[in-house]
Amino acid sequence: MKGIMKIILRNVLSAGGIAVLLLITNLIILISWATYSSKDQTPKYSISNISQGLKREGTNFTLSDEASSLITDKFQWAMLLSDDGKVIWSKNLPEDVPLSYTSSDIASFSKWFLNDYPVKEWKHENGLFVLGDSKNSTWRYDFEATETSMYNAPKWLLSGLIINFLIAILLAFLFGIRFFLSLRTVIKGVEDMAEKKPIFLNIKGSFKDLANNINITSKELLRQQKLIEKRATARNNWITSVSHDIRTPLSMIMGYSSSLEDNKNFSEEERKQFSIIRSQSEKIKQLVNDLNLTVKLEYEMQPLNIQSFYISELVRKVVVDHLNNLCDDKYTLQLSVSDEVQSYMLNGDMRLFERALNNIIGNSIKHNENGCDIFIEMKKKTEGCIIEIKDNGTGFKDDVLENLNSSNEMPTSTSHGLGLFIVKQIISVHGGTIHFENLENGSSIVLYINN
Amino acid sequence: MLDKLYANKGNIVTIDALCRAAWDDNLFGYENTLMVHIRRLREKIELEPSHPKYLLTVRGLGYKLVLEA
Repeated sequence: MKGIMKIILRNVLSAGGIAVLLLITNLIILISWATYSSKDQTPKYSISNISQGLKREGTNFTLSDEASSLITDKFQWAMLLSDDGKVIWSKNLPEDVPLSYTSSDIASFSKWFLNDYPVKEWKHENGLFVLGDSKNSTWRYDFEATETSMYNAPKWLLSGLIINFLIAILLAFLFGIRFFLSLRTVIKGVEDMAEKKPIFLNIKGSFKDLANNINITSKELLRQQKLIEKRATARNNWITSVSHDIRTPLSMIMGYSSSLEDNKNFSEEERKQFSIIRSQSEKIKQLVNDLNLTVKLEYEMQPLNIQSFYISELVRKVVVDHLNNLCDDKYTLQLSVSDEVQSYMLNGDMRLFERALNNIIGNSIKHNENGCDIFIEMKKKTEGCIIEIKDNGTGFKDDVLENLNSSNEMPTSTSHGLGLFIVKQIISVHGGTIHFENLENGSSIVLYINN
Repeated sequence: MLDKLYANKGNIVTIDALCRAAWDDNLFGYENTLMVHIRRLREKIELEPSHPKYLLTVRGLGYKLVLEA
C-alpha cells in the first residue's frame, strides 16, 4: 500500500508540474507574440498624421512628402471620398476599386473589406480619408460582446484553468493506479524470486516482456540453486564418509601403538618410536576432524547447539585447561577480564566457541616452538564484547595473514591456517567478526562478538 | 570446595568451577564470597594463611591446590 501511494503521489505531482509548465510556456508564447506583432503594427497607426498631411488648395489636393512616403512604404494606396460618396482625390488607386460609393458600401468596407482590400478610415475636413493596404495583408475580426459576458470572462477563464488542472490530476491518478496494478504483480514476482520461490508471471500489456524475462530468470535461478545444493550435499557427504573411514583405522593404529608404547618388552628406543606413531596419528585425527568441521560450517550443515553462557567463564576454562596441560615453562598464559564483561552472556554454541579459543591458543603454542607469552584480554563494548589474543612469538606468515583477513575461501595451503580458518567460520556463524594482525613482535587476533 | 580442589590437585581450578561446585550457580555475584571462603580454607590448612604455600591463587583464573611432592 505504501508503494501505491508513492507512485500515485509522484504521478499527480508530475502531472501538476506538467500543467503548470504548459501554462507558463503558453503565457510566454502569447506575450512574446503580442509584443512582436504590436512592434510590427505601431507605425501603421499613423493614419491621422497621413490624413492631416492632405491639404486642399483650391480644387487640388496636395500631400505632404512625409505622408506620401508613409503611404508608399507602409500602405499601398489612399483615396479621399467626398460626402456624397465620390472619389475626389486618390493615390496609387488600384483599378478594381470603384470610384463612387453608397453609404451602405461605406458601412460595409469600414467594417470588413473593400473588394478584399483591408482599409482604414479617418475623418477628413473634406470628407472621408481612406487608406488601403494590399490584398491578404491583414486579418480582420469584428469582435462584439455583451458587458456581462466581458465581466464574467475572468471567472470563466479561471474556472477553465482549474478544470484543466483537475482533469490532468485525475488522469495522472488513474494512470498511477493502472501503472501500479500492472507493476504489483511484477514486484510480487521479484520478491518471490528473492525468496527463491518458483514464480510464473502472466501479464499482458506493457510489462509483458519484463514479466517474461523475470520468468526465465527465476527458472534459471532455481535450476542453479538446485545444482549448487546438490553439489554441496555431495561434497559434504563425501567428506563425512571419508573422514569416518579414515578415523576408524586411525583409532586402531593409535590404540595398538599406545599399548606397544607401554609394553616393557621393547627397548626404550623402540617405545619412543611407538610414541611418535601415536602422537602423529593423533595429529592426523585432529586434521581430519578439522576438515570435517570446516566443510560442515562452510555449507551450514553443522547443527548449532545454541545456548546462553558466560563467555568469561568459558575463556577462563580454556585458559586453565591449557595451563594445566602445559608441561613446559616456555609458554605463559595470562588472562585479563574487565568487570563489565564478567556478567556478559552470549548465545551460541559453547563447544564451537571452546574449539575456536583452543585453536587460537593451540596455534600460538604450535607455531612458537621456542616458547611465547600469550596474553588474553576481554573487554565490554556497547554492543557485545571484544576478545583479544596476543602473543610475542613469530607472528603470521604474510600470505597466511592476507588469506585470513581478506578472503572467505578455504586456505589453499592446508597445512597452514586451517585451524584459524575454522575460528573465523565459528565466529562468523555467531554473527561476529575477526581480525588478524602481526604486531611488532608477535601476533594479535581480535574477536568482535555481538549478539 | 576443598573436595573439588583436591580432585584436581596440582591443577588450576577456575573460580567458576569452584562456584558451581559450592553453590551450583554461576560466578556472577559470588566473587567476594568466594574470596572469603578461600581465606577461611587457608586459615584451616595453611601455616601462614597470608602467605599460602598449598592453596595458591592464579590471578584472574582460579586457585590451585599444591600438595608437596
